[in-house]
Amino acid sequence: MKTARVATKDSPTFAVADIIYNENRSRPGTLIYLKPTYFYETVSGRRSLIWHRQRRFSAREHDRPVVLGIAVRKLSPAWLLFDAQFMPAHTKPFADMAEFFKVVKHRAARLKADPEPAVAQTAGVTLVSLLRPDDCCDKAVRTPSESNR
Amino acid sequence: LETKRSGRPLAAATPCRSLRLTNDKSANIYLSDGGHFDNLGLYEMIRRRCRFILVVDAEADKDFAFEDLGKAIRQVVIDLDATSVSRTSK
Repeated sequence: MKTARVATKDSPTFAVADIIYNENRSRPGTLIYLKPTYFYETVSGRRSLIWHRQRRFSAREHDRPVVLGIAVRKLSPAWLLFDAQFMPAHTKPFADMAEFFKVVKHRAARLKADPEPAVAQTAGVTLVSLLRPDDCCDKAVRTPSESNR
Repeated sequence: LETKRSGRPLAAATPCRSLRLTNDKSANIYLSDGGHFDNLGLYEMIRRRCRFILVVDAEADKDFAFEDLGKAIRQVVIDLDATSVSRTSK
């Protein structure tokens, strides 16, 4: 992961590291680092998360699906989802979560045909970086309400 | 959090804390969430030799500088001798 100063839209949204213990250097442990607020909207724009949320809800032309989430597959039977979004009271609850699962499905289908997917596999854990701009702008992941506009 | 066993905050406990005179046997107890040392809990996990660690960093980091992560790794490398944390090559 890169700091906000040098991050790009394609920067990974998670980090995986080896932990090498002195007593057993041949068998490193695994560290997975997630930062729930580290998304391309917040990083590439180099503005605050609140600024983006306000922009999203105040300017309709920018009201594209904003998907929050870093998925950890195979870590448990269920997906782990960390939702740290700014959610004003008048918005539909968990709308982003519904979008998230649509992107997961879309992204998973794409990964099957991608020779070099944005997947890091380690210790039986597969991490998928889901937050790509093309995902959020793709018609396949738009909500039904947006399609009807 | 500074408190006396009576349950009332005690301003006089501050000098005791400064002199490291507070412990679990004394009248004044100094409790902390540990964030002043390691805000992620990573240090303790590595000290206990955990093999799989999942860190969820929810610190106040508006500039996305990863200060706590860098600090935790530096502390681990310095304090827990010959333990290193490096980006995986896989």
